[in-house]
Amino acid sequence: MKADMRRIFDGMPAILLVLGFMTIIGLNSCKREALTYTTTSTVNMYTYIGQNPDYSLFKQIIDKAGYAGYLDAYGAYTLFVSNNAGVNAYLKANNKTSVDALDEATAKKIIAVSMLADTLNSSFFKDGKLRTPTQSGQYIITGTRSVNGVTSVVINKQANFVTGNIKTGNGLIHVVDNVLFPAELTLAKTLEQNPKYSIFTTALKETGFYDTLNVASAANTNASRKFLTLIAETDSAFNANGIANYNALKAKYSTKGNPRDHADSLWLFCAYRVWPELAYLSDIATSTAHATLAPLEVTTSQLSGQTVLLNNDTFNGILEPGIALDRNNSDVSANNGVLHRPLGSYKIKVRFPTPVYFDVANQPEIRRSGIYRVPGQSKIFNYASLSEVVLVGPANDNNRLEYKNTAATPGPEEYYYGNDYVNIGLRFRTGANASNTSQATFTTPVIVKGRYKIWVDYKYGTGSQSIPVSFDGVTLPNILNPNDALIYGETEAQAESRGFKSYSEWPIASFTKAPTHVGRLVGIVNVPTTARHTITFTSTACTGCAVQFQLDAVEFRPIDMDQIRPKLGRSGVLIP
Amino acid sequence: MFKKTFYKAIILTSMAVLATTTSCNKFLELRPQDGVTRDKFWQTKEQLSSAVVALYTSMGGTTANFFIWGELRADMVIPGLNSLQDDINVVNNNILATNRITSWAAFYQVINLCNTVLDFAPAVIERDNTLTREQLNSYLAEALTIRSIMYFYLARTFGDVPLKLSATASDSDIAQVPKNTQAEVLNRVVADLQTAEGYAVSSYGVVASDKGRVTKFSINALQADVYLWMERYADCITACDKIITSGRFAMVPDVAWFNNLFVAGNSTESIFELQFDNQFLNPFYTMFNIPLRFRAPQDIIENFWGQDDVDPINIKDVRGIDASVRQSDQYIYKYIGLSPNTVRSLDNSFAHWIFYRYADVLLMKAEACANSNRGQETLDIVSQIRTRGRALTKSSPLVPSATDVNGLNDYVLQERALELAYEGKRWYDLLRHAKRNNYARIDVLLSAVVKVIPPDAQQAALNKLRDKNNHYLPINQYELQTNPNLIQNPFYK
Repeated sequence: MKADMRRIFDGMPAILLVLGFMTIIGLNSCKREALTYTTTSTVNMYTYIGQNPDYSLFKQIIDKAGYAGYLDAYGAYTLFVSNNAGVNAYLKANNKTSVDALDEATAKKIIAVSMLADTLNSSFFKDGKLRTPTQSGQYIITGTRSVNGVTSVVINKQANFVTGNIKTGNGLIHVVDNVLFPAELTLAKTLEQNPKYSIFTTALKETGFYDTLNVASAANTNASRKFLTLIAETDSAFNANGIANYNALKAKYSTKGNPRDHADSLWLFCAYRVWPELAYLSDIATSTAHATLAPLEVTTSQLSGQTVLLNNDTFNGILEPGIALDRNNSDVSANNGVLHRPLGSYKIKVRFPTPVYFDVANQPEIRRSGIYRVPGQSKIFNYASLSEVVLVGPANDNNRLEYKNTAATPGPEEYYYGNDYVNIGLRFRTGANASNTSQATFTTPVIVKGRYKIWVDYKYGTGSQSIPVSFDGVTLPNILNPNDALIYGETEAQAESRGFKSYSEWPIASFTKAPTHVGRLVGIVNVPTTARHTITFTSTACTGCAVQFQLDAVEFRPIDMDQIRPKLGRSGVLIP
Repeated sequence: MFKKTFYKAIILTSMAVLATTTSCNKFLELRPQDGVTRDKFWQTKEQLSSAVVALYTSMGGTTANFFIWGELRADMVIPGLNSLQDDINVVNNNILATNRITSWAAFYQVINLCNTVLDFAPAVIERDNTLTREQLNSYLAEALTIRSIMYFYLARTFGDVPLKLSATASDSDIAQVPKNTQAEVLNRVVADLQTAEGYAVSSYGVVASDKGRVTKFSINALQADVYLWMERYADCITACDKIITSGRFAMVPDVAWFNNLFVAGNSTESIFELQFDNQFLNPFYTMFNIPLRFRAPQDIIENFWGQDDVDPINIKDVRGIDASVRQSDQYIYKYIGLSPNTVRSLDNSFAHWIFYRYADVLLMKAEACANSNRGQETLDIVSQIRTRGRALTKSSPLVPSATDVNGLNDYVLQERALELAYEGKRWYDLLRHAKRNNYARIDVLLSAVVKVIPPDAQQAALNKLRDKNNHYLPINQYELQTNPNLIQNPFYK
């Protein structure tokens, strides 16, 4: 035992030494090294809002809604934050003393309509809706307002944009001066609340559309009817047209006596005013046609100067003036769509199928070029220069329409409609060769809905190839070949039975050969809507083939009319 | 023994001498191998001359902006297939500080080169006896004028800009300069041009230099433009008259309008143009050629210069189709065309950039006359321009009376657009007319611009334009970050 003790004491200096070392190491190890473990000091949305005292009330709304964690998680969002002045204004307007007085559901609604899952900086703010809906499903609309020479950006017609494009770790924050809140009412209720729409509201109720328009988008199970656009006329607009009340409207339109009958004109009258899409004014201005709930009836739209016009169409060469939308009273958001007010009465136009003789050279740019139907003139229009023709091919000048007129005295075998025609491409063939155009799509004039035979009129012999033709993207049964000819000596009926005809005023008697201007029946189509449609020619010729396609006209003849006469004359008129 | 020591001493001494004398070769001193430092430069008049010529070359970096700032926000240019998102945002009037078109860096680079010449040139005359006072002054006039051009562009584009008047020649010179007001900048420009006018020569004796370098007349033209912007009409007319009465300039004949002015360049009509050549190409090839960064709107092509109903091929405005624009492909044609059917190739892309030409000066005078009760002179000048351009009645159908000030202004504005289309003037013309008499004619700007803004941005863009602060671009983000003394322009805060 003693010996053990001694050994321990003998070892003491060594132990002390070791302990000393350990102490030194231990003391030193207490010095933390200042290492940064984060790659950025940028905070996320919720933290950012918390750091700025001017947004403290909005932070309370977030807390109330229980979205604090959500807004601090990584992602790519855009959030419209109201500053304290805005929240106070909102509370005052709703007779609340503090954010605590709001219930959780309201807070959730506010946050849901203030936030969208996309990062949109302020350069995305145009007229009308932002490209992504908010978490509530409703779109935020942006616009501008000019008061005494000072312009401010307005969000949702509810708040002014204060400052924006603040980058946080999980998206962008825009600060606004009022709380955004979602539209509470359906289109039907919005309309009903406004006494100016009493006649139309009654009509909607009588025809049953009131119920269609009274379903909140969140509750709607029909995906294509979640958002609707309603064009509602005011009582004064009806009055101006001599309709004093609903009974007068019913007396004028209700042809079957039962407004709920889908064949009743009053039902159609209302159906035509409901579009199954969410179209704010800017959307209406940018697209040309809109489907309606009236079967197969479309509304056309355009922007003329600053005015958005509906049904402003040229039909058979005559301009039918359209109806303007009232900018100040349109773009009214509801929770299932948007309400617009026209400045007049807009209605379905009843039309019957009429033939359309579409001179493909009759393009707005060619018409205004100064050489349209000027003898001897020709001009090349490249792929980018024609607004109503889409040419598929390389981005160079060979991808083009060549517009040509015959000489003042046309050649002996030239019987073009209007003495003019187009060559599609330098070469009309497939492949990525720099001279190729491989497909051409023309926008037709307005064709009334109905059943038509389509004849493609071309000059024979520009190179053999099969050209599938499609109408509105649907391929037609007969294949076109520019080297398909008429047969000398066959009668017109014989030719028609083969699907060919002489469409021009080629005098058969004075030639010993078949006409080289050939009309080819490419198919029969049901034109679904009275509107402008597209017809597409697709090449199948090989990349190196020396082929062209000389197109003169496309005829849309109602199925029950004479398919041969009238013929298309050289002077641009019809030959009976 | 002594002899040995003696020799040793001699050898050591001579080695020491050798070492010390050869050290004067400074083989340890470092000088840049690829350039000249300031203390070696600014010695001779040749060096001064090359420094001044470099000012013109440096404007190659700003030429694209002369066009973009002067045209893109106005009504005669729309984005093509190959435009940048930044271009489209400018057309849509959706301009943020991050838009690269708002960068003024190239302009301040030119300004700094001008400042360098202005700071260091005066000392050259003491070092090089062959440099005369007149020569030195002429060089100073060039630097002052080019600096004034830059500041005039900046003031019209951004409103208030920093006025930096001394060279940044070393790191210690870098300064973070705050903004001066537009009025301060313009007043400085006026003062500088007055000095420059006294210094400049009337002619260098060579056509290319007379058109390509600053002369008294290029200064007068710039003065006229500045005075017109400042609504000092009497001064503007005086400046114009100096050019008109000089007898050195005349309008080119109608048949040669396109060819003399733009294809050949340095015409009798030209007063000041930036000279490009095959060693120094202009930036327009990639801007106006396929695949088209910028193009002319269809409406401009078809209706602006008008078409004769009977004979559109032969009876036409020489300044329209196949000159300013080409119809078949919507080309902006002035700087890329050789003939109606031939486009310049890339290595031929050296059409000059015309700052001022005689027709421009006449029209500036016409505008000043219209606003100083001299309406008949306005009508006479515009009529002269229209006759030369073979203008059709359609392109400006209403001839105002000599007392209708608004009508006269509209008439001149329209004629400037017809004559000077795509020469980087349209936006500034519109803005000048709009802002006259405290924005009395803001409708001029709105009704022009409405035609080219896409439908989905139209209302927002127009409402923004109703705010006069929106007429000036925001200061680029980079400048704000590097210079804390800069404050963003009011509309973009």
